[in-house]
Amino acid sequence: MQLRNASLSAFAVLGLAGGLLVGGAADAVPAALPACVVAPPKISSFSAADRALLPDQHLAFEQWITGDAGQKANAAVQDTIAKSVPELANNNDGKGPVSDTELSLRRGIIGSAYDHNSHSIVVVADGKVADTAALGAKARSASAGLAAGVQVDVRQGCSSAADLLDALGVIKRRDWHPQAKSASFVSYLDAATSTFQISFDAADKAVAESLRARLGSRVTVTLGGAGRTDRFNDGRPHFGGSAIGVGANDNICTSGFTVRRNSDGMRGETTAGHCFNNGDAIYSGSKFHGTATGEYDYPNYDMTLVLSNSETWSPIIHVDPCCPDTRTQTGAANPSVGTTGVCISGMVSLSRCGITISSLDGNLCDQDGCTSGLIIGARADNGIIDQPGDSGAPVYTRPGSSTATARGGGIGQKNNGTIMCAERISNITAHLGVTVLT
Amino acid sequence: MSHRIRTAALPLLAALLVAGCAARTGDADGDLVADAPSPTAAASGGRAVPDLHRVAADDAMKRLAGQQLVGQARYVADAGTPPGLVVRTEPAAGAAVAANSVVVVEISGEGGAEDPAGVTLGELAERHPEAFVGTFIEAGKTVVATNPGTKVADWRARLDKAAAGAKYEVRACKHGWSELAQVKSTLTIRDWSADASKISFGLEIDASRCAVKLSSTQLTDADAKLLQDRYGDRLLLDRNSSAGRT
Repeated sequence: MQLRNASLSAFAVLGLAGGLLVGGAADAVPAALPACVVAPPKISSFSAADRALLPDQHLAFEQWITGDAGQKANAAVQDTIAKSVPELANNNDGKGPVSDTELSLRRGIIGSAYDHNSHSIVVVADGKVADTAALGAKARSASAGLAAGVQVDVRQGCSSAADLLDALGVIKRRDWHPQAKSASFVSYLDAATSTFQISFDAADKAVAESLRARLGSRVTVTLGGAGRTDRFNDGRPHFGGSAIGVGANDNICTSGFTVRRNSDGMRGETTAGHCFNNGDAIYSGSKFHGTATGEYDYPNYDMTLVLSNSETWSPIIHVDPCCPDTRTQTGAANPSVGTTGVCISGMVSLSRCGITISSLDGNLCDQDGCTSGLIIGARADNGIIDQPGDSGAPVYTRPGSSTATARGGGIGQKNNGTIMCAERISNITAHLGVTVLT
Repeated sequence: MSHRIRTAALPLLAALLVAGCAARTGDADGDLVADAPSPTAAASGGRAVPDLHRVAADDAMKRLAGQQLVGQARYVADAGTPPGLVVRTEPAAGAAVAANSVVVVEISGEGGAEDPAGVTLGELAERHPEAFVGTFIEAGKTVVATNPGTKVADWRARLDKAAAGAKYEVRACKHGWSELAQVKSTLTIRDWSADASKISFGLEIDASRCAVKLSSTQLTDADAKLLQDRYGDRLLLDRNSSAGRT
């Protein structure tokens, strides 16, 4: 199991608190939160204008961080955090013998979160270990002038770094219960609450309760949503970038980003339309994902959804083989011609970065017909980036060390896999009527 | 991955066949149809401009392309329409036009008709197809390819601002964006041979060559000759590059 050093958004945090892994009512939380907790957005108190769905499919109140300026500011802050933990640079991007989480905690860094109420990027740390004043000054300096109105806040975590390192040790050793070593669970350190969020299969209730008793307030344990989540056998909560197919153990394509359908809030994932027919039951390896839904106007629109009310989804994509192996979705925006550092993460080619966009108006034609308005991109070294089976893959950029901005969804290739063809994220969200989960 | 029979695609394929027949009649010599709407277009195999009012700009362009029409963006100030959505089209919705016609799509701009702050050279070129074919990188430098007749002096201040101090070069193309976009649209009708609709290929406007690049390893010699004869230097054939869905 990978310990996930991702800081989920306040939405995900609330979902966990409510027993769901993603989503949930953002206002269904205690009115008075400890000062150490990064408050979730008070959506019901926002104006209709702030709750409006914008053309980029984000809600208006998110624009301070999902917009280009906010993304630049966030990237600067994330870079500052990373530099405050110099050991990360030599940790093979999370694949070293010690996890990034542990290295960060040793330096007193718990992580970062986003406060939609105050428009703040919040760095959460243990002031007894980290020089929070210096860290805050550096982060503010790095992000100064990049995004008007975006604040950088450094906050004392709810638990000390030492207590969290102790908890991490317990989780890593898997010795808190006789069945702990055989239980399936997903775990990551959530900076917004300074707790390890751990989700177990319902069958492992005793193991989960034992861990809750052992770690107390340092952990938030949920049941009913866990499984080994490698991209070829992606269990609950499901991630984008998973290998998927019709029926069990027949992966043929790749899922894109996890999304919320605007009409009814149903969760799911995007993928390429040519992969499936509406009504197909979609699995990742042996794990059920949902039903293919919403494909229309194919082939001009080569996109579809996999939705399910019974499954759970996280705003995370697989980006293995490394560096790190997952990323949290924090925004969505089309690239431009000349955008560099673009990545695509398909099940065959895995994550490939260093792509430069050369066109936003390509066409791909075959016996099905033509698909228009495509993102065209390639690496300067003409490396292979998109192969059969990669269709649907998330196309993204990396605003921070563990985050991803959704840019598009792969559908095809040119020049023997060295050029990718992808639907724009704006067209995916508009045509399918969905919002990328963040 | 197995190919599946798609009943949903049949109506569109039928439409493509109809469009293809019409285009063969009108475009046999490779000339492009006029931009202006024709009252007889619908009767001669043309199509009606769809209603794109308040549709997201990218989606509007895609819908037009799906009907073998060329959407050309024009950013305008319109306080009543949220930024990024279509205000109106020219010709207006419902007008009959021939296949491959240019439809100007007026989009509510974030800053009105002005370019947003921080716009890059690539974004500037994308926003102004009336002046630019596109951009590309050459020897580490951005090159801006302009339409014939573009007065670079009129654009110099905006280009300099978009370049943000970086070196760039301006190069004039023999063929303009709308002409090349129409060539690209025409090629999606796939009327050059009986088997054209069965092959896989990619299309894009290659600003570095001022041409439409068609990539496919499935073109026959006869196909290649016919296409090159038809489109001349507006078309660049790359027969060593495969293309297909993955």
